[in-house]
Amino acid sequence: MNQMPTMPSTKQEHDVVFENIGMTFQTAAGATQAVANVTGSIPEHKFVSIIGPSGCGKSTLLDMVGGLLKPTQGSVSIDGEAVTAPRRDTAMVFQEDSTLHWRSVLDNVAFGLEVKGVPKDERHERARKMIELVGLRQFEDHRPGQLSGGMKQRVAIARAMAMEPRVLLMDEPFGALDQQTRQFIGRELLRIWEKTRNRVLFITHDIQEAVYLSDEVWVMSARPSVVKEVVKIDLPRPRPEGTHALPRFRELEDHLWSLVKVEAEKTLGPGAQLA
Amino acid sequence: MRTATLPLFPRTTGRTKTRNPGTVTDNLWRAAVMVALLALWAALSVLTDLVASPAASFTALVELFADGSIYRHLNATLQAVLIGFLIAAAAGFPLGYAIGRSKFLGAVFDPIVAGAFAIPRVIFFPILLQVFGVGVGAQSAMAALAAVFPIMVSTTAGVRAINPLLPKLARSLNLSPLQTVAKIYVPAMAPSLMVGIRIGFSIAFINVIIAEFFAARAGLGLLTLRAYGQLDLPAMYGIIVLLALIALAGNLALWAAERRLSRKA
Amino acid sequence: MVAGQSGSGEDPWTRGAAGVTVAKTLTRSQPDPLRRRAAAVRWAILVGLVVVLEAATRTGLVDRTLMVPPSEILARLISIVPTGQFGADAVRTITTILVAFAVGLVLGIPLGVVLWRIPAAGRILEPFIVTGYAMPTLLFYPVLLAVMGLNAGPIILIAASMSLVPIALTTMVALNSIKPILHKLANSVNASPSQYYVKVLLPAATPLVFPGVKLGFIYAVIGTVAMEFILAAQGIGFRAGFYYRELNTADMWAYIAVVVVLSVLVNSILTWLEKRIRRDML
Repeated sequence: MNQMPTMPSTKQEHDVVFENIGMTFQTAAGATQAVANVTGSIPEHKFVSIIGPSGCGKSTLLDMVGGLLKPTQGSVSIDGEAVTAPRRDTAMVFQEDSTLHWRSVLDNVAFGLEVKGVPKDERHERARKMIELVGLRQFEDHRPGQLSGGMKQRVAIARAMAMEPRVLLMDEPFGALDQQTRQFIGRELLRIWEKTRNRVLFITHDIQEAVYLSDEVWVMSARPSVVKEVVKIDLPRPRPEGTHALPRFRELEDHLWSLVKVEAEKTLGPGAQLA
Repeated sequence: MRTATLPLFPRTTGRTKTRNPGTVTDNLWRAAVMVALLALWAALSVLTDLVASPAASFTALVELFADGSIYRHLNATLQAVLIGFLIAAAAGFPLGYAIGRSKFLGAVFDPIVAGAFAIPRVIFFPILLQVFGVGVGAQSAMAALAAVFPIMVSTTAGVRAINPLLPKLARSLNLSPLQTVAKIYVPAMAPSLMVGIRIGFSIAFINVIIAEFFAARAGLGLLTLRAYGQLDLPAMYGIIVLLALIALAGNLALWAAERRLSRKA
Repeated sequence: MVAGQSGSGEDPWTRGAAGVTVAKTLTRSQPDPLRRRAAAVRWAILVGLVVVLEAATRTGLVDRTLMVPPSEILARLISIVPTGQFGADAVRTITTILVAFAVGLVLGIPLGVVLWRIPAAGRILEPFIVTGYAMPTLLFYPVLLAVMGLNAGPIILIAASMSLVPIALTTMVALNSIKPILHKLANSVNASPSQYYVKVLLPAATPLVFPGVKLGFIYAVIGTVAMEFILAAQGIGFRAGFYYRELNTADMWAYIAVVVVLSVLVNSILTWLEKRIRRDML
């Protein structure tokens, strides 16, 4: 059930397109190539997860799509326009807590809109809609310090969503949460996403999470990374209760695990190059 | 977690990672800054009569050493600083420790210590003069009164910052109270203590000089004032340089001690 | 206050997983009865001290040349405060303090920002700063006096130099401790540099900078009063020294009392402000 990455010549209009993108960092120890050559595309309304061994450049890739890093080779474009700086149509959610602790939940969610210059009434209204969507309506006037980790991440998701981005970039957003919270919030994310259907690029270490959430999983190789394989997830949408128990789920999980294991050993095993 | 609001350099309290003040490029830059300062001084001295040139000042200073007249004053000042500092340490460490260890004492005395810190201690100098008369005694008392605060406060902070597991460890090893303090608490608190000592030294130094300005029989502060009164500007600036060197030397010595202590710890 | 137990229907989270979504309460630093007892003891100590001093001075245990009874000090205070001379002194001292603090702020904060942006500068200059801090800047008084004349100028500058050091250092430390993720966040929403400074950096840094500002103000007070005591011809600090030289112990103590009350008042107000800021912004 593997397919080769879509070739640039067949790209559709509203895709996020990676063309031979690469990133080489200059460090004190010399040049490190984090990302070698990634080519692929994310079609509209698709949820794509990226998994791979630690340090293989997944975050770097995301940062490039978000316009925070400029690729040293190749390019990424959204809707035909190359990404050179952070854009209005991308929004990011980080693993670390990024809530502004002196602002209320409402003002946190409205932050992206505030920066764009949206007038107060409008941005509060849009923010409230998102707060409702993520289920935090009662906590609108609370400060982040009064919220749990999972709730703070929901605030971050609401903030990103409030900007109505074409592409939602999520860098291991649930990595800092405990297992139980992670499962809950994963289900919540899908519930919200079914309504908004942005393109999502989602980085995770958790293979189960990747299978559960996505339409497609890209497996990255060890550094310098390329897309080793693209695995299409053909589980039903919306995901039913008990998805995790489906035999197909298990198959996909095992397949991904075997791919990742090889790469992980390259990174961590006896023959591994030190970072 | 309620920590005493330390009225001191925030950066250097508690979790100090002792900085290494000695990489080669850094020292080169410092030398450059010194040269620039000297150049600025020289320029000022040309521009105005009120500033003596570096050369004249150094010469005057050397002369003071050569004819021996400076030693009486140097001794008086250094004595006062040392005695004052020792008294401050003798009082400050135990008091700070007690306040830090006991939640209740902390609650009682934290506001008092913080409030007392805000009072210009110089204002009590006349009282000290009445008690000790004019002389090294009064200056030492002034220095002690001023320096006891930073020492107390940093000791309190050091005690409070001790990892709560350490007392448990001590009990599990069946250490006597004395052993506990000596082998576990003191090394754990050493960085905070050193910072308090360093700041205490500086404050003792400043206060001795200030006291000498007000009333003294001997001392570098008095000498400065006299030089100024006699319009002997080179001598005055020379003594100021000497004071700066003493301050610098003291701080560097304590810094080095701080580093060695944390390497052992 | 536990969140979510009103169990609103829409939010599937709050129903079952109370353990997951309970909002954290803001913890109080110490149990109340302890603090109240401590406050009581504290007041008892202070009142007791006054009582002991009153007794000691009245019975002659403590000589009149050393200290006069607190009740007499209070009487002197009451008669001194309404006088024109006191008013002039007070105005002079308070203005000097405020100006010195303002200068310390205006110089200290940018200096702190510079030290933050160029970490090397901080490392290199550290010995100089520490030495400067240990040197009584009052030694430069003669130069300042000649340049600025016999007025409040030199005192302001000396007090300001004491004030700016904690402000600069605290600003630097505060800016350094801002989570880098907030910078990444601002970048990702395409905030302009000024938006980043005003909407993120400033509010994040303020509760951390304020303790340094408070310390700077305290040093402005200490510096002003100390310099007035030694060098000036006017001001509350000066007046205390003046009465000492006149051997007027009672009035000297009255002015010492003024200084004490002023400093403690300033400290209390600033501490209260600090707590408010921590509560609202940290």
